[in-house]
Amino acid sequence: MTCEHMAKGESLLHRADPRVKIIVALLLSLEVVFLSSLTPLFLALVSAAFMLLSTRIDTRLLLKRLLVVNIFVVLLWLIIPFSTPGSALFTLGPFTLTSTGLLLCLVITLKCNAIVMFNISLLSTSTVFALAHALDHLKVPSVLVQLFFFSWRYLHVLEEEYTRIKRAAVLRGFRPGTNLFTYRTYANILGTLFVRSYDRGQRVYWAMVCRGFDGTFWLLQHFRLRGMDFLLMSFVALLATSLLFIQWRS
Amino acid sequence: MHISEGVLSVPVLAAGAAITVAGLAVGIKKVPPKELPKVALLTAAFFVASLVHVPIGPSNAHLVLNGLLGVLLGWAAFPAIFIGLVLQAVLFQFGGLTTLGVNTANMATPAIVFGLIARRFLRLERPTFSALIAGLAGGISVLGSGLLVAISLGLSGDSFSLVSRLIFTAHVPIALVEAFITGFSVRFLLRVRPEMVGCTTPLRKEESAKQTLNAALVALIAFLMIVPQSAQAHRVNLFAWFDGENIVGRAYYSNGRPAVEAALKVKKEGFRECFRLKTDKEGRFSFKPKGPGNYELVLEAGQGHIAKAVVKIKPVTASRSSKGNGSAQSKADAKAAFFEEKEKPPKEDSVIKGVPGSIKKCQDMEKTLDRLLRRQLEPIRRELEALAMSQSRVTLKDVISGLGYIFGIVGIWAYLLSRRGK
Repeated sequence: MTCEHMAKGESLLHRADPRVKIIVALLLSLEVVFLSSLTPLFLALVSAAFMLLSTRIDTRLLLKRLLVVNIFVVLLWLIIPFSTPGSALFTLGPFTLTSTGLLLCLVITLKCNAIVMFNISLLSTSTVFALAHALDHLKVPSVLVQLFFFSWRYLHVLEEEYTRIKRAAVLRGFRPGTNLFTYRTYANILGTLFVRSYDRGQRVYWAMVCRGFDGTFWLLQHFRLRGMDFLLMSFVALLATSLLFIQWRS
Repeated sequence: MHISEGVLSVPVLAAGAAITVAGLAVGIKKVPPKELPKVALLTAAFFVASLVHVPIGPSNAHLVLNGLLGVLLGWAAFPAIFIGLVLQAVLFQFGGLTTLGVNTANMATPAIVFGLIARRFLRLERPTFSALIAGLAGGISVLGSGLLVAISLGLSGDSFSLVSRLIFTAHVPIALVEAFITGFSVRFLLRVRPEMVGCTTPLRKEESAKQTLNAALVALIAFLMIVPQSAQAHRVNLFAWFDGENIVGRAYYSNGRPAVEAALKVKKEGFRECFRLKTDKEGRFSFKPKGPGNYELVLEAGQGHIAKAVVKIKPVTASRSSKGNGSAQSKADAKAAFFEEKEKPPKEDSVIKGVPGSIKKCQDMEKTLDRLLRRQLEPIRRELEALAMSQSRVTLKDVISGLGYIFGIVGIWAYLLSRRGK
């Protein structure tokens, strides 16, 4: 499983305080959702791309991720320009292309990519360990933080477990196809996975109780605001107000 | 499955976030520290399971398994699905922060409702029946999520009506596969680890009957919550006729509300779409047709509400003005499909017979008469419209009689159950 590749790096955003990054990401995403005209959206996209490039994450990996995100957007481009009522640009057989539809598609594409780029550059540049601690510092309910942290902790273990069960099935000649046998086999594989994770959860709990677990999530990492955090905050504040201003003007 | 960022409108996002916060608040309460590692491990297991691609025909699809999650975890499925989506957003950059609420609500709500219902039917001593129920819950949960995704898109704008329908259709084959996988998985778990699906010891008979009744009650309440909304929202009626010059009409929902600013497409028989217009604030519209022929009117009131009507306009025969009586009727012989008998304009006596004057004069007179008649018939037409509307409206009477049916059927069922118990 390819996880946390993007969290490795030495850029400014990688080193920034995850608490600040979470708040800033939330703020920027919400603001972009509220924008509706093209100029501020373009500005948002450009600044998001700038932030993304400043993280110096491998470009090929970034493009791959953005491509996946844009599959849904491509689907929208294929349908919405033709299904939106409005003034017709041109007619092709039974399809009428409308300018309103095209505009809507453009707005969606800009919004989607801007938000995803903000999220990658701000959230994916932290390790899940740091994010969980930051969430707890931000007073998110402890149960959620612990669920988040534990699930991530055992994700890889269970993925290996699944690969092992699947390999055993393949070694015994299992070839997936569209039939009931395949579905039953998959159901049994998944059932085994669930049983094993259930038992492992029980064992983990006992092991934790032995070490004095009482439902508290003990924080091992503490954060302190530094110069670059204030820099990030002022940059985002400037960006947010200018976006709002342009939106309000147009 | 997931709705991307930037697509949905702000109210829809806010509503989704509100539902998710409420669901999380309840879900967190159901996870005591003792259960926490187990729930976390199962969340991780489901995350892994959702990466599994299962073949469907020539293609393949990844599993959702929200129904199974609901069966296994109950209310804790809400935080579990939420955490799964957060992990996806952070690790795979799939979706982001603003759609987290809507996506969680769309996936978790049906999972919990149908998971909890199905859980009440699971019995150690009836593995096949239990698997069937669980499979049903798994399939319906996926369909329910698909429906919720379609509704969230539909509520965000008229432009998404086609996309939302396509997305819902795409959920149907996945729901089928999910039903099989969920059913077989529950059967497996009943054999191997029955306490995971809440079946520890075989129940005594009267206890089992009581539980079945409880489950029926829950199902009934869920059904009652869904039905009135769909009954209110689901029908849109279109009502159109030719008044001699224009095709006019009205569109309204079955609760009597006019369909305001709904898109109307007009197609002439054998031609491409020739008009596109919108209804006004009272749901009315009017336009001038291009010559005689059959006009097909399609109203799209958003969220997949569609109504159709056909208006016929017969060609004007050359002999009409000189011959009078018989043929004069033909021009005005246009009507909405279901308005046939009520609305035949009484044109027979409106044309003066045998006046030798110029054809032009005759035509002028006819136009004036048309106008006069239209004015006089207008109140009658309104009245008929109101009548048709009141008939198509879902009244309290209908709802109560529907309830009666449900109670009757449940009563017979309960009676049979109690007999079997003796």
